[in-house]
Amino acid sequence: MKNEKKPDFYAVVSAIAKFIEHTEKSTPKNGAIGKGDKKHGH
Amino acid sequence: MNIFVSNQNSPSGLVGRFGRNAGGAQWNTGDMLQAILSDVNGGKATLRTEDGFTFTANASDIQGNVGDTLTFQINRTQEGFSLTQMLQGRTFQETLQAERGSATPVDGYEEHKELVNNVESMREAETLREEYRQEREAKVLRVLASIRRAQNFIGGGSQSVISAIIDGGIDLTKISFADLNRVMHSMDRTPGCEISKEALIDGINSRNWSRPENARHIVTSLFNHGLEVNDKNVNAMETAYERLPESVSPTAIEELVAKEQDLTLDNVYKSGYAYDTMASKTIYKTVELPQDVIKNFFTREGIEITPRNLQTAQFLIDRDIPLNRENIEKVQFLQGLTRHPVAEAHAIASGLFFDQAAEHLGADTPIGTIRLMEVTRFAETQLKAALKAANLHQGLNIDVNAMREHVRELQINEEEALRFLKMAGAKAEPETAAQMTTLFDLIAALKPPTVNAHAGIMHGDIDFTVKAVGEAVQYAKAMSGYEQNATVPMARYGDSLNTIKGQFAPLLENMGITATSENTKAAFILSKNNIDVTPENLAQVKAIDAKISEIANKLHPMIAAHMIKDGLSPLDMHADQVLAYIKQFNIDIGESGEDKISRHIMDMDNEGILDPEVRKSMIAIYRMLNVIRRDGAAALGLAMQMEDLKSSPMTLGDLLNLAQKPKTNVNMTDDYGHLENLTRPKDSIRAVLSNTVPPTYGEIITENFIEAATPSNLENMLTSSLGEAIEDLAMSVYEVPEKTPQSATAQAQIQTFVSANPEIINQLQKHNIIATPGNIRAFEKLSTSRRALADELEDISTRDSSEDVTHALPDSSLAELREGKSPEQIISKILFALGDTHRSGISSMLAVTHGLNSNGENGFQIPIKLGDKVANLSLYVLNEGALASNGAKVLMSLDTESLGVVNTYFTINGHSVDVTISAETREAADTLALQQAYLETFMTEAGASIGELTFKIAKEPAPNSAAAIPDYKPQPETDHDYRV
Repeated sequence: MKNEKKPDFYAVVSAIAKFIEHTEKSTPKNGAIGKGDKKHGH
Repeated sequence: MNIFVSNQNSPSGLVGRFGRNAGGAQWNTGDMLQAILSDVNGGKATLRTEDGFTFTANASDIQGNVGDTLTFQINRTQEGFSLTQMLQGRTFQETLQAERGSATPVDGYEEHKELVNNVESMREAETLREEYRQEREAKVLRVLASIRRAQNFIGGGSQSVISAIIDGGIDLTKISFADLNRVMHSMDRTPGCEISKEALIDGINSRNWSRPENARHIVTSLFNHGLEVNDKNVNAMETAYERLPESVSPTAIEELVAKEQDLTLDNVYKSGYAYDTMASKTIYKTVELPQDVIKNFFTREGIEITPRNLQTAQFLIDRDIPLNRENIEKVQFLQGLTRHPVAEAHAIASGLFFDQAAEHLGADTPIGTIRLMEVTRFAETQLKAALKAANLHQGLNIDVNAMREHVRELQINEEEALRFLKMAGAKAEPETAAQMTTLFDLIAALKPPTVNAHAGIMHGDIDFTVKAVGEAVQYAKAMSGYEQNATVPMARYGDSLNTIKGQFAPLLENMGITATSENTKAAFILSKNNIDVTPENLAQVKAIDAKISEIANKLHPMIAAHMIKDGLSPLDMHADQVLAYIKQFNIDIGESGEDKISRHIMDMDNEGILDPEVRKSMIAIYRMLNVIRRDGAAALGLAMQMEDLKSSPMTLGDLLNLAQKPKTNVNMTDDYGHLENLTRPKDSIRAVLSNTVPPTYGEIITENFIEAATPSNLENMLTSSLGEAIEDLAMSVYEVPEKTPQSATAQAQIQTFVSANPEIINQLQKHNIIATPGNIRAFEKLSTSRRALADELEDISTRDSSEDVTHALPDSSLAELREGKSPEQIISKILFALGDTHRSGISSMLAVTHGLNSNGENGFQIPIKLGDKVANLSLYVLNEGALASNGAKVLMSLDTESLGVVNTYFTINGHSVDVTISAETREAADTLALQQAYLETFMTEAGASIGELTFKIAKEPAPNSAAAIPDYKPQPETDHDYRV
């Protein structure tokens, strides 16, 4: 049986995950910017 | 049926009387009235309440027999009162009303007087006597057919549903909802209404089974008992099955039998965790009961006089448990209640088990109350066959001997090294891992021992350290001519030893030294190294050899990891120091010789040592060994000089004689004393080490002999090896047994058990996850890296792009979350969808994740597809019981490819969500902030609006730590403590 409140909660979770995924996809692929990997230096 | 009592029908004053209940208050709708059916005559039933008030009703409206106490519910109407007889369980009417939220009774049904089949309830329909069965069954079928026609019946239905039911002639007030539901499903088996086989099989295949091999049994038994094959029922069955014990320890058996507990699934399951299954602190006095007394008793009680029964009788007697047939059966039953460690099949036939479970479910009785003995009572032969097949299990004694065999095989890789380091609480980094791998590479070189190290040590050319010795051996191996110097013949290596013996025996005997295997081996070593064979040299080389063997076989990676944690370097420490550390470590964790002896004695009963004389000898030997190990050989004041080669070496026979005729000045009691609760000392390790004396050769021999002297081994030794030297028997434990493929798997599993951190076992228990080796490994992996599951899945998908795998991957986990599937369901789906090739490798990981997720305390780990890769989504709900949307405070953590770890903390207030997103670096945080419009869009789509939105930079906190919460005030930095 569906817990009626659940979808709201997970909906938020998936919205956030979607957002993060989207952001990652649109990140230029020139090295991991999140991991301090300065392949291209500044 | 409603009994209508009106003003007109009742004698004067009756209504007035009836108008008030016993307390004098007015009857109201919903009140309950109890009355005894005092008479049935001429179609009229007379009922009488406690305080003497009587009323009548139509006999056909009443269910019960004369003398029964019946319960009625009051319903106030304009004309008076109507009574509805309450049957067990909710009446259908109540249920309907509850479901439909309406207080109006269904129109028309109260006019129905015809009861189904002339029986009072559906439940009775199921227990009809054979002679009426067919007739009644036909009627039932008609009724059920009409129900079957009604759709959505369970959901509460509509008016048309009710009409259909009424048409079928059923009296809804007499039936409890549960009954009807149940019977409706049994309807499925009747001709014309069968659930098709296809549908059933489909049902099996579409589910997520924790043990697929049980699927058919579960479905069949549910089906046969008229139960719905739904998640709730299947889960109940599966959970129950997992509560079957791996085995029942003697202590638990004792408690269960002595306390006369019912051997229910619950009780047996609990017994496994309530009692200390390690060595019992109390050793029982063996009560010597004359055999003929027992035999007479058996004959009287009709108990067969078999060795097994006699042994069980002794088990009971030793523990002061009443000796009777029932208890004998109980003990034997519990002893046989095992799960095969490799095949993982339980001794209890699963078909029968699930049958019982389904029966309980159907009767609304908790499955935990299944009486386990009844399950097997009809399957004695099956049980015997299962036990026979599981004989391998008997041989897999999970004791330290086995542990040694695995350490023998052990070379570890970096991953494993890190694992051990983490478990020990040491710094788990490449440097320390390298220490571990090097250490064990060298140790592997020392097994089997070679002659190449001893000379160097004796000459003082090399340090007696693992590093030096190991390297010396490796060096020698690299040189040609190694073959000649290779393997020292071990005591039981057969031909080679005999050959050597032939060579050296005369030499030794000339020197007045007995040519025991150990002496012979030592002579061999000396000669190979061009060292004179003298008593002193022999003694020295024996000691060195024993120490090398000890380290090679007893330095378990867990211990090595602890050494590293304590700032020591196992590679460079002197062998004596290493041995001292191992010795202390084992004492600290309770693996002292005393415990081993205690355990041997406890195990004597399980290993079937029956002959009272043998038992006596064995106990005497165990006592002697304990005295020796506790007080040293000198305590006996005898020439038990294991290190004096000039005296004849102590043989097992000598030991036995000694044991049976103790010197009076030696204090030997039956009571081994209680083991003090030792904790690892907090003092500086070096101080401890300097206080710990490394074991002498004699000590090594004694301890090894104690380990070797398991009851069955000792029994054998007493029969065939009385003349063997103790040192030979002791060192024979280092033999390599024949390895069968099966035993290799089993050994690997045992290794996992042995090296498992007890805290992990606790955690698994806490989450109701069975502590199988696979699960232990999985838990370790998951607790050290929450990405472990995602990584595994990612790994699988990289290696295998087949459809099975792609389909299984959490492509749509997010979508499923939105649909309301729970994390557990998602995990189950992944497991189920993976093909067999991958399933075994990853099933433990999934099972443990599933288990952890079910508990939810540590949050949920859900592998999801992020971009192209599998990532791990961690969800922690920070306030209790708050999966409700209002007020939930949630932390979610997502490991991304290029943004690093992104932690999001959000609170839901109604439809507004406050969000704080923190990334590891400024760049990542900025990038996320740039895209925030999209977050707003997605949220809106999800039906929520953003309240406060903040972007932060934060170093990734350890999982489960309070630091994960944005408002947290950081404490001074402590080392990551990965100890679970």
